[in-house]
Amino acid sequence: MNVSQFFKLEIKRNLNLALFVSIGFAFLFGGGIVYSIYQLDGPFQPRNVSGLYSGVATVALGVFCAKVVIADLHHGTVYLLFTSARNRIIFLISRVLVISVVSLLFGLGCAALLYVNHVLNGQAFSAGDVGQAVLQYVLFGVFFTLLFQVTSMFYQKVMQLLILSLVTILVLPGLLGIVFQVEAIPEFVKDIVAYAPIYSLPNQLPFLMLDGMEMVVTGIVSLLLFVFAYERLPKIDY
Amino acid sequence: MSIEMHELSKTFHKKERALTDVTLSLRKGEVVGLVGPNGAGKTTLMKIISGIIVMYDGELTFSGEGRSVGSLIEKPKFFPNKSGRYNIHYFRSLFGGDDERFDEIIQSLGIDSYLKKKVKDYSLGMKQRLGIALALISNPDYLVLDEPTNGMDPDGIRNILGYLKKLAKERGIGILISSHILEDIENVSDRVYVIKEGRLINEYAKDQQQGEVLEFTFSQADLHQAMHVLAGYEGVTRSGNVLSVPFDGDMKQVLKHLSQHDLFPVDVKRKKDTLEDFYFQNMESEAK
Repeated sequence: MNVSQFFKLEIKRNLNLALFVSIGFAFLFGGGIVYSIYQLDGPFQPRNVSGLYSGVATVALGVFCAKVVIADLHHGTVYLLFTSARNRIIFLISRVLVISVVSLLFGLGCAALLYVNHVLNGQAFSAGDVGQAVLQYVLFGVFFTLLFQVTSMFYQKVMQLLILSLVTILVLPGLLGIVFQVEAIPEFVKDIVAYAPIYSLPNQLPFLMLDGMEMVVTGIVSLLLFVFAYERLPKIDY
Repeated sequence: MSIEMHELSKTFHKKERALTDVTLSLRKGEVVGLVGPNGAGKTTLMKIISGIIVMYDGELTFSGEGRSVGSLIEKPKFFPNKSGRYNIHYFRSLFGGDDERFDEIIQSLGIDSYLKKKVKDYSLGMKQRLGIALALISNPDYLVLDEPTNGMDPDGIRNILGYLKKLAKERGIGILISSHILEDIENVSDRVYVIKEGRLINEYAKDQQQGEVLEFTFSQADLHQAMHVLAGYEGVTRSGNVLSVPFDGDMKQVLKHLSQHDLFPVDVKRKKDTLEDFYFQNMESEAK
């Protein structure tokens, strides 16, 4: 299988209308806050702008993360692609690269909205914000794609996987948050939950407030997921 | 130059035994049929050969040059919202293949006029043809086709089978093909493996002289006695009111033997053993 061709084709296949409509919709949604500051002198900060943008963006990106993993399972095209260990590894790497590009676009969308807010409302904006937005969205995309990839290696029912992915992003962080309300739970458990990407990413990304430690932990967990998938994917029956 | 499979076994979920000690070979330039009832393990075997199933017991080895396998397993797989042309472009970009040859494949399979349509609008027969084209896209050394003529019209079936024969003969591709239409398999294959409940139970070689049988149809009243009289002949089988006796060149002797017991068949036919006879004989003897 030709690696560079596969990557090009997958980029073309995934940079589609649905992606740009999703980013546009997230932009419009977050733009509501920008407008309210501009026209109505609303009491909002840049983090509120990125927060509302992420309301749409994280859900849409979550769907894209699941889609890049399960689309070939759904269409059965894995039968054409997974015919050798090498092809399976190429598939895995291309998925990480594709979702990185998709996430980068969501991050740039967020940064663009913050810039519009800066121009119209004079609120803080710097090149660092662009970097943070891109980095945090890419971490989000890569982590959840690898998580769904690993999940799909054990469970291959497509519709359930899609639902599971949405539950993981939308519901699970809230459930995990209960840990912090229960005093009896030891502090170290709370620390583990706080730094677990599955909790920290959906909670901190809206405000672009992932701290250094959270990013490092997300990076390490993503790397572990990748290594696991790299090892296991060639040894799984489809 | 062949694929050799030695004692292949596959168990799903630690208890569902799909294949048990299957030993067979597929040589380049020959068409090999694989027949058996639903759930016999044909698809599992084909998935192993094409690399989709990787966890199994036993050995699968390629001898000689060329190890690439093209496959069409179960239903054809495509991006349904894209055109046939896009699907071909996509997989061709990945797996390569030379242009002239591919144009010839498209024309031989009769799909050149459908390529602009979205695949989801294709009939099953058209999808099968496109699936075969995609299986051939990488110019493989071996081709594994699981019921490739499903949903095709009779003309289409004849064309496809003829084309497969040509591929094997002229290009030296080794083809493993399964179907429930035994006549098609017999027409296209040089050899046929019969598989049942995950075990290979026999092999039918077309170039070997197949036996002939005499088929005697008896009235219901005579059937029981006729079975008793013919029991002395080796290999007698029964299907309804018809008793089949392997033909050794002397029909008169059997008829004389029957007439000595006042048994006169309603009908007598001399018939060459077909794959269908071979298949059912094997299925019946396995069931006993």
